[in-house]
Amino acid sequence: MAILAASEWAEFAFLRERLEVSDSVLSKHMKLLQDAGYVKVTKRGRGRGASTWYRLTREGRQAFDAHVAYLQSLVAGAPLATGGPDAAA
Amino acid sequence: MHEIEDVRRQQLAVYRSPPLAPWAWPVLGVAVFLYLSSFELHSAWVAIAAPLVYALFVGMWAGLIVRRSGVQPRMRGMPKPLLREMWRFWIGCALVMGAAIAVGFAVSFVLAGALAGVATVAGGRHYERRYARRAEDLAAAAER
Repeated sequence: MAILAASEWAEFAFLRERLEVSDSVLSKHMKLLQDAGYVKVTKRGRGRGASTWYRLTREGRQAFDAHVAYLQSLVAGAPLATGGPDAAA
Repeated sequence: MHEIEDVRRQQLAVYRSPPLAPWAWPVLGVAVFLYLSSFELHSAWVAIAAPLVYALFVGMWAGLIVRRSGVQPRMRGMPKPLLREMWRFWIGCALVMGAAIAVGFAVSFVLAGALAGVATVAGGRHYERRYARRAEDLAAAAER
């Protein structure tokens, strides 16, 4: 999702290499995202030259932005680790 | 915290695309040369067809570059140092085309085309190197 959020389009092989996952794992995840309406898929070409391209839908982008905003709010609100004995209290 | 850093690292990877094929800039340079040289033909048909063919060719060239890299980075949200490089590139293109048109009217459009073609190859490669260096610097900073 992070890669797709910074891209207009990203190709299957590019995603697989960057994420260091197998074809089947990536396919499965992309199918889930597609079913959730977060990702749009386009197939270009035929035969050996065929490629599959993905892009985030508006809903996908909104969901990703909300997720990042939530993570950032967690970090902003997190207590500072002092390293002292009472730090965990 | 780790997850946010991971998001940042993954997103920077989009802007660190592999170098272009060695023929990419020379091919564009030849297209620029042919387009500007066509101004010398003084034909209405050429005047209509040349910009269309040139625009189509540049679109195909850009499409092929994106296809080979496997990703089309998003301009919105692009890190500022990379955006600055891109703006420099577009300003450079405008300056080269402006200078080429001035040379074309003053001397010859064939000469203007040749100069603009050479500038496209040299400038394009220079831009590509600068952009790659900036992207590497950003990625290295994100790793720290």
